[in-house]
Amino acid sequence: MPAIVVANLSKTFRVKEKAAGLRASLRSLWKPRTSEVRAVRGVDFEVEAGERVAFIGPNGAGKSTTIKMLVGILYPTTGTARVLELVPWRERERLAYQIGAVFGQKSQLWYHLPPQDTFDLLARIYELDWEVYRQRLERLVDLFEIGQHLATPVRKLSLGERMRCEIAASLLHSPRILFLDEPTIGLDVVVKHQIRELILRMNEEEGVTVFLTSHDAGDVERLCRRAMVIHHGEVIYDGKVSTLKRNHIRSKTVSLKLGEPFAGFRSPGVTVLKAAGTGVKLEVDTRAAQIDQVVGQLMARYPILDMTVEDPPMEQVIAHIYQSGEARQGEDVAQPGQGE
Amino acid sequence: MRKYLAVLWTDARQQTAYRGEFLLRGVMIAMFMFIFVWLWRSLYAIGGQAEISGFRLSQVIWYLAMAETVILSGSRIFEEISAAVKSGDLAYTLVRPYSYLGFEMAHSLGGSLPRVALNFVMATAVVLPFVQCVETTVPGALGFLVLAAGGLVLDAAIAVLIGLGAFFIEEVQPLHWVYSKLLMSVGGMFLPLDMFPPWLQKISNWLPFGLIIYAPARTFVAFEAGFFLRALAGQALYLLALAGVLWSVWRWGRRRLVTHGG
Repeated sequence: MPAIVVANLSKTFRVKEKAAGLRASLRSLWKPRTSEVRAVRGVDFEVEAGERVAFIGPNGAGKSTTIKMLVGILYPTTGTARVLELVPWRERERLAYQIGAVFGQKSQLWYHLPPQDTFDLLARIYELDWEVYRQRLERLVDLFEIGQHLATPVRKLSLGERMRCEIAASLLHSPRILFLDEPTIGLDVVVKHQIRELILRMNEEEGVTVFLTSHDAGDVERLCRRAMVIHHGEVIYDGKVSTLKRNHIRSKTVSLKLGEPFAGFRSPGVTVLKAAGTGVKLEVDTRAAQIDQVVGQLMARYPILDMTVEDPPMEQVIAHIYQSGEARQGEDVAQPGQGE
Repeated sequence: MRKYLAVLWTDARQQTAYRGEFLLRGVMIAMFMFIFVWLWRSLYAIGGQAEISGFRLSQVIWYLAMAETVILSGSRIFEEISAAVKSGDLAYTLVRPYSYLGFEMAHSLGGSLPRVALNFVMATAVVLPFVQCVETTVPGALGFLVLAAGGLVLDAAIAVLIGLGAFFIEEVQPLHWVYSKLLMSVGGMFLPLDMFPPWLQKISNWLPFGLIIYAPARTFVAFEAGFFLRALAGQALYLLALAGVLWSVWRWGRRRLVTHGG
């Protein structure tokens, strides 16, 4: 049974506008001007229980607005959504017992108190049985390694420590769906890795459905098999992460260690990215040249001691999708599971 | 209800997280009371009367101590709510299973609770050496506790309503300015309403402001069962009306909620 069903969901905001200067300020007093912003435009998708889905897009694409509608914070302008069989904005409180949400840019912990106080408060808010809560907290404290931070005021925790506490707090009531909005923003690589592994573990061990938005390609690659790309309020891709990568990779990076100093190489579709002594890095545009032919030409010209061929990083792939702004009705729109 | 009490208790503890800063707030009421004591001593000395409008000097001073205890413990939650409405951050408090209005009320009262205790202790510490007596009775003190609690709930409800005003207007500070001045003038912050001209007294008695300050403070110094019950009923009625208004404004405002970061 799908955990989330969304049909034709749209959200339009009215935003106040005011030109600079005193005259405009006075005019806006009796004749305020507003404009419409269509943040989300007729989005449709389903997410199965236990799935890990990345919902990605550039700033202002409509990701957070969609998440906020799915957790019941915002009313849509048109369309419907059912999350765990509930209409989020009408049954917000009932739904809140079954979902968890982490907003990387907004702390849910009481800033001046230790995390233990927030955990205790959340246990009351979610009406947890105290013994069940103690056991759950014990498990999360072990898993997230936050035992030594429980008594430290939140304001004195590092961002990584705080974020581990934030996610633990969102899991206290054993939610069936976890909404993560930029959970690794601002974290160093080690903490990012820890957070990803913990989320993965909660998904595998407890079957928590993960709905993630992130600008970090590492989060998407490590955590999710399925990705939806939203751009200008519309879903322009819905399919496997691996397919997303493959379909949008327009180049390969070839790194070589030569047996003699590099003295130049020209071939259609090949750009020299970096060259120093016997080391060289080339970018091959796969639409203009075949990788085996380029490698063949290189081997004919230089003795090659070592060679690696790599895909461009996920960031580049996502950037490419945003830039090209492909139409939803294009061939990229695939249903989950059809991509490979 | 337990969850709202838990929010209240957590907020009360957050208020006292920094003891130094918390205790410094008590200096304000100590200063006010010191000034009031000297001012009213002079007024009674100049007038040469033992009573003004039925109040002895010591009663007026205790009245003011209790009035200041309540008013200086009042809610500033409107600042937080209006900022959250404008920035869209209000949305983040909605992911939990509670009523938003209930949460904000508990949040506000949790902030007031430790302040009431501190202000009461500080005001008493300043007043007692000057007047050398405590102008209350057991029913008066208990009545004060009940009406002060009701007054602070009423004040919190008005503060939440002012905060939600940010759904309609850009800046709610002027609304709060008007409200605080009404509390000062017709709420009985500087003198008991009994000292007002009869026509103003009549108007003030119909307004909610006196129910927040005057009613608990007067009950402390001069308990009357009839007055106490009327004040309690007045607080309940105003709270009921405010609950209706708050609910309507919130329902309407929630649909207009705009969040940022799209």
